[in-house]
Amino acid sequence: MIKNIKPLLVAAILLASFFLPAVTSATQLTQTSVRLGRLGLSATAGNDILVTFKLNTTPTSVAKVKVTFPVGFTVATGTPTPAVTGFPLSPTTITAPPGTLTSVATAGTRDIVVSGLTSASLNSTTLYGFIIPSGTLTNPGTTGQYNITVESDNTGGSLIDSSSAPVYITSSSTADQVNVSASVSPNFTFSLSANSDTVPAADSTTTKTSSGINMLVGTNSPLGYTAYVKSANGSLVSAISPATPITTGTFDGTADTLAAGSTNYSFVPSTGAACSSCTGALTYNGEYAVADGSHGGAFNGTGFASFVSRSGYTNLDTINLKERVTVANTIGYANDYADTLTIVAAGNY
Amino acid sequence: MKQRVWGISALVVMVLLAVAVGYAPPVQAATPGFNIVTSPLPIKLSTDPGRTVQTELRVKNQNPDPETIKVGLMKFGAQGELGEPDLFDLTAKDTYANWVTFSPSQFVAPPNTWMTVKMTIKVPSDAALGYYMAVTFSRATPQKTDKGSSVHGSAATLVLLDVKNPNAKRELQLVSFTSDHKLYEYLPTTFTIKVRNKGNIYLAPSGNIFISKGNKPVATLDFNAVGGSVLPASNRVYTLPWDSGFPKFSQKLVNGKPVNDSKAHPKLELKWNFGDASKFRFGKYTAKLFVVYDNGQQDVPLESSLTFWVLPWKLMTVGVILLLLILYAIWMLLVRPIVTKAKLGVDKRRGRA
Repeated sequence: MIKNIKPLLVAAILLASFFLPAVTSATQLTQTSVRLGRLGLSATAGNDILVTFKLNTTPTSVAKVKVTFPVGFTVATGTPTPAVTGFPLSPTTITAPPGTLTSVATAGTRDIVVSGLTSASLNSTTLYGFIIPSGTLTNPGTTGQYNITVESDNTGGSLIDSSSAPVYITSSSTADQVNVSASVSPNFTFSLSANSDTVPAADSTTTKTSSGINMLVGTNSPLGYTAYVKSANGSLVSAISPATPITTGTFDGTADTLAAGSTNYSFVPSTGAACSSCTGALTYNGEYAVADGSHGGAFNGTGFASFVSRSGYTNLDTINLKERVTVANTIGYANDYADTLTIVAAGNY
Repeated sequence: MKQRVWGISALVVMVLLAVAVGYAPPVQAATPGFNIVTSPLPIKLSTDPGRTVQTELRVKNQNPDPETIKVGLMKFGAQGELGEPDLFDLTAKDTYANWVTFSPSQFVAPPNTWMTVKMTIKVPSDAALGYYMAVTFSRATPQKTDKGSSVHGSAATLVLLDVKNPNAKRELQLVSFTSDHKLYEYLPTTFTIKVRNKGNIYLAPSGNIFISKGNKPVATLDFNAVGGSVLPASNRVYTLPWDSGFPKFSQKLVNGKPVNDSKAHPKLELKWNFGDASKFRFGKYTAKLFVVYDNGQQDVPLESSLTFWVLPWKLMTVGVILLLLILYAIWMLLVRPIVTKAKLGVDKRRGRA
């Protein structure tokens, strides 16, 4: 009889030895991870801790989650408030655990115990997470892999499940960071809406104004810009009636008054659509500060004259450019009066 | 016979019509206006006599079709006191134009592609001090109209060249440091700094305005952080606003766009951003200007200071009226009944006596 029992006992003991470790140690959490805000040596600033976990055994018994850091980490004693918002998009669908979370961080045991979870509402399928804000954890001063333990505990603090989450501390205090620098070049945008502008047929009884073209200027330079006009002839000239050009007025810093029956060829810039993002003021040179239909600015002979400037940046200024004409009844009949205007815009210095 | 004549006539008319249609001039699409972006601006160069200096200018054609662009050169001087250049065509006297070459000087710019133009200045050994040039980008073959005005456009990039010379004189004078008012209801206050270049080389001063209340620092403003220059023998006025206050006047926006008054000056409106409540300004403030420029050997400081007041008088008036009303209410509801009661008691006692 004894002879028969011995092999059975040996087999039973061997069989039991296979199961014994599993019985004596806790099971693992279904899923867990710890993401440190910083992986640099001895890093503290910005070193928040995102802990994610999926419960395994009796989730409705879990009341606390304990995070224990290995030797090398420094945990500051305190009661940091776990955040349950602002989770990253990966891993997906991190959910705030039910309940109002609080935590106790203990320097001596290098652990942070998060409690306040509503046990009855927990389940084993949801990926829960919380963030311990920076200021509690200081990374080790030695590079290498460290295993952080995350465990689920019941109300009394007894272990239910436990898992290990590895992190790697990099070789220097800033090896986990990338400095980003950028610069924006100053630029200057200039355009004209058309290449020609026609004044309606003039006579000695009325003042005629062209339909105008638009000058668009944009610059990101806070120094602003200035725009200039130059008339090739200082007048409208005709090949048919060369003896009677339509001459410009007096270039003296103030706009000329145009009266029907007198001869004047003038330039009338005005503000079109307002800029939507701009600084400084748009200022017209006194010669070209015209607010009505009976004035105009004279050309500076055949030289350049600044007519508008801005003292700041602008996404886009629209300046409408027109020519205004009155003629005396001695101006010869012709339909070929013409001139060439050169518009230049330059960023300020 | 008559029918034959009609038939021939009809044929001739048809042929003529066909010829006329066939030879009708093609309809030409109107050429769009010149439309470019240039970068950078302005360009500041410094070199020694006898050396060659280079810089790159970039230009982008923003029209949908390729554009032939020509690079040209003008000169500029100071105009006014706000850093506005005064552009001039070059004359025969401006021999420095012969030092300058562009590569390429004319090119076809595809749409929306940045093109780079290299500007090379071969500075002769007898060159000295400052040269102020404007590089222009314009259409190579501008259209000309037979009647009315042909309008040609170009964008200019300023180039300030400093050729080092022992006779270079770098000297700035602080002409004035002022605020637009002595008394403000609310911020902003605008500081105006006027400097004069008494030397023969352009200078770009920098520095700070330190604002304090009593001995307590309140704000530090950067002066000329963008590097605006002062040309020789000219003044330059810099304005610097201090708007870090609560409440404060800000530019009025309608549909996100700034609104101007009839003189094209920005319209202001009072804004109450309670997040800036800690920036409530009240009392006497001192602004100290500290400007530095490089005279070629060392940084030279220029200093000045001014004081101004911020008194929100409307708010103070409302406060005083409220205080008077509260005092009146206290008098009417609390003090007066007690006084009346006491008076009555005294009268009663007197009556008994």
